[in-house]
Amino acid sequence: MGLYYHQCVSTVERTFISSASMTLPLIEAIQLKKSFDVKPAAFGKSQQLKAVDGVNLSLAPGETLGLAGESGCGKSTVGKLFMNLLSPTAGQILYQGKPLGSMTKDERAAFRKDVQMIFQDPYSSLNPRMRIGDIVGEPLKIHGLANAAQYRERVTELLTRVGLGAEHFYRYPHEFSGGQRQRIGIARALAVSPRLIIADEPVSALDLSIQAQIVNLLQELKQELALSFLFIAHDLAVVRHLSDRVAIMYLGKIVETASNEAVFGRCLHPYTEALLSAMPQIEPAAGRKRIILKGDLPSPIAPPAGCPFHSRCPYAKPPLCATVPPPLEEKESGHWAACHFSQQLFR
Amino acid sequence: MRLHETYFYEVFWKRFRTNRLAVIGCLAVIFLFILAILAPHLTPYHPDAIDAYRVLLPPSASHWFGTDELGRDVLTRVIFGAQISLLVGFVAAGIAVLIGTLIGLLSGYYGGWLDSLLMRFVDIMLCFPTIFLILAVIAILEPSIWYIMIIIGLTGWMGLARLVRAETLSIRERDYILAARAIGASDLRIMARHILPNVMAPILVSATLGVGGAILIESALSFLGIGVQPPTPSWGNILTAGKEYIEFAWWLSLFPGVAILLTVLAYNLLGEGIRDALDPRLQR
Repeated sequence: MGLYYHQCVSTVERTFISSASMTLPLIEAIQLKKSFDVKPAAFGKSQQLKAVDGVNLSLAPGETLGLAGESGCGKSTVGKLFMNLLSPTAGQILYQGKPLGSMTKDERAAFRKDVQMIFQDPYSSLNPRMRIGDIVGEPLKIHGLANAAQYRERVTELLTRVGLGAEHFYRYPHEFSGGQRQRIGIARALAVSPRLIIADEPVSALDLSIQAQIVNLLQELKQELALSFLFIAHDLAVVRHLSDRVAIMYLGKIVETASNEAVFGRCLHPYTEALLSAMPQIEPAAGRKRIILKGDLPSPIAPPAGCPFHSRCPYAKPPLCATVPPPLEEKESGHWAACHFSQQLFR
Repeated sequence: MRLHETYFYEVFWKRFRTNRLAVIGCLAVIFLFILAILAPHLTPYHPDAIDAYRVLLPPSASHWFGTDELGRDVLTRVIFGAQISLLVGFVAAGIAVLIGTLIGLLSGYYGGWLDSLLMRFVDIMLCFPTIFLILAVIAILEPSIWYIMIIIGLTGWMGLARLVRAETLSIRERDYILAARAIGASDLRIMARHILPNVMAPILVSATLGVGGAILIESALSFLGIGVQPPTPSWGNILTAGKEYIEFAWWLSLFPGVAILLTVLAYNLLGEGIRDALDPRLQR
């Protein structure tokens, strides 16, 4: 897997670092920002909720990027921005070098064919009034990918690929279990033969045993179809299993990003450390100390000054951490972290 | 849509048929339909046939509902009146449903300034006292059954528009709408294939109740003499003719009155039965 990798140091200056090969990224976000207006009750000024605050990310063809972080950190918003289902407040997303905001009608149609999404909730992601065959076949109809003769065959092929069968063609979503519904959602995403799939918490709503099946299915698809994945999850075990590269998000910002091995081997940010310490261990005696973070995720309406994590960081040193936001820097080759003290802390 | 609805109607029917009043309403509506369609074959008389020797006869074996001041058979006229009532009811409710659904869908789906504009328009329409608006319009135009149907339809869509808008607002946020956008479905496709089938419930209820409402308004207009014009029989204008003779020929007013009452009641029972059968809060 040729790990392509790049990050921005500042808004103006962009630095490209590649470890093995220098391929054009399939999709990349540059200083991506998205804020929502939050209206207070009845009177008063509306406030800005900064869901995504200056995110730089890129995905190489065939690469799987795991985007992790706790609920409310903005990772789903990143997914929707990548899908062009939301438009960014600032910054931009380039798909194969072209900004999403200025695509022509044909380019937009091509983008919709190339980039697909898998959703978290298998219950609300399928139209309850449509048959499975129609749900999976709709993308084929919209993009004119199959004529009447091939249509049935193609839909059956897709259903079979995700572990369902032709006999499910005329069934309704309510006749299926959560795991099966998720498979239907995956079949729908595969219908257009996409290059990139954005999976927004695809397994977190499922039972543990079903989670494994879906994760394995995604793994198979990734290898067979050379798909790129933006895998959004809060479950680090799943992220570790699927991702080539991992980005950790906190309060709308990327706080650490590196290869899978680097993040899970030797993380360089206290937040990542805390997340990792919360992962269930097979051998509890292995002796990793559980770090319990104090307090809740601060409100993204009024994020803390300085380092966004300083209010909960066990190592925070008040004057510096509370005033100066740490830039996302390359601390080691290909391993970026946004912490003033990562060198001292993680030796 | 074709076969998509099978499941929906299965559950719906299971719940609907346990509601006795709704089933009675449904049967009554079916009965009215049969009556209206078979009208010429059900009675030996012609609704406009005048018989100077049989004026104002009380109900008897040959004239079950008696005869009117021109010797016409009241039963025959009430049965033919059912045709007019159904026609007005369905066309007017159909127009209202079409406008209400369209405005509600557009308003709920697009939101923003279009939503504000359309909903303020709904507010304005709701401020008009409907019956006086209709009176004014009929006074300008000539009273014809077609104008009446159109006007009843044009003034009766606001409630449904609000309902459809509210439903659309909630369905718009479902992931399957995002999924449809992600696969490149057009707005029109999303509204027609993904939202509309999921808002059919309130539309169906509103349409049924709307038919009853439209029949009531038509009767009122015909009673006031600006609705269906004699000699075409309508329950409203039979009632008007009857009020002159009410002291000694009660059958002239009673039968069309009862017909209106029972018909509107039947539609309301049916509509409420449909609503109850569709109410998700009762779902198991």
